[in-house]
Amino acid sequence: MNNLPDNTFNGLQGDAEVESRARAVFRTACENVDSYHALRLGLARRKALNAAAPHSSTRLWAPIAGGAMACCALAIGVALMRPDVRIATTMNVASSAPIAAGQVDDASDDLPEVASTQMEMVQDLDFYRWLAAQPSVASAPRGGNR
Amino acid sequence: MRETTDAETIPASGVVMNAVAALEAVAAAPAADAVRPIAATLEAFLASVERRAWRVAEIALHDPEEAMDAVQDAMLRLVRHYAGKPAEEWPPLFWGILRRRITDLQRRRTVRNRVLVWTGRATNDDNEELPAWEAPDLGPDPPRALASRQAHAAMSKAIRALPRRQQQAFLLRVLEGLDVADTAKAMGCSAGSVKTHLSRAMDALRTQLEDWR
Repeated sequence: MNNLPDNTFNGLQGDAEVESRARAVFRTACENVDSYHALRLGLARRKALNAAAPHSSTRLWAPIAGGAMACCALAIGVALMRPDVRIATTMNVASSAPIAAGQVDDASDDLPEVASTQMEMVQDLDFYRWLAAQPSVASAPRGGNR
Repeated sequence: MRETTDAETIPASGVVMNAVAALEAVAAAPAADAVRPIAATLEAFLASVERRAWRVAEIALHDPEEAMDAVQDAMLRLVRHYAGKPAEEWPPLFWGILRRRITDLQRRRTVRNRVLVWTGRATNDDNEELPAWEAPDLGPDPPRALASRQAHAAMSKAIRALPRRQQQAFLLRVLEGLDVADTAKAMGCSAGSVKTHLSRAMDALRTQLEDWR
């Protein structure tokens, strides 16, 4: 690179002189670039170097970050779709409802799965047992109050 | 800032005569045939080449702002796509990118000028060519600076008169100092083609720049 002696025109004295003077003019013009354009050239260089740096790092990290996010989403989805987790979640919600202290043991034996919307029935379970045990109510004729 | 607006500073018929006087001022400069060292980093390479690149683009495009855009684009493309290449390959790659960018801009300008001429917008209401802004002379040695600018303007004008491929061969081979192989890489042609283009460029310039000797 830059080995100018292999120039085919160096054999001609006149051409060599023209080349030499052309280079001298060019070199002088390059040395005398005004400060405004010299500054802009420096800024252009910095911009090119800076623009390339984040571009390459983004290109590296984007797939990794995307993959990590996909794995997290998949893990959360699988965890939520497992039936035992769903029951546990539901039970946690049920247990958080206010229940009388004496009813807890009996009720938990009789309730395989309780939704939060059924909590009123669970709380009044004793009432329904008592109601079922009343023969007068169960066998009462229709319109008996006449 | 427009530093080499030869059309405005020098009458077309007196370009060569003014260049003779101007060249006397720069003839004493040492030869620029020294081999340039290989830059260790991409930043060092760009810093070393940016002024020459801008001057080459300015000669080819005759517009400092377009030349600045071309150089910036070439820098960006080199850094983005070829930063991993060996440092020895940066000069032909960079000059190849810049050459293509300059060619694109020249082609766009040709189309634009045709449209402007066709629509009659290249001149003002008095049918005169619109003037270009010229930078004020702020150099420490105005006569010498003027002589340098005139010499550069005369040379630029002569180079711009060449066909595009001859122009590229002269700029890369003679002014930038790339060897034939690297010039061929930058131009995307064979070494033989480079020599042919350069031979024709020198034939044309020899007559235009006869008074340089």
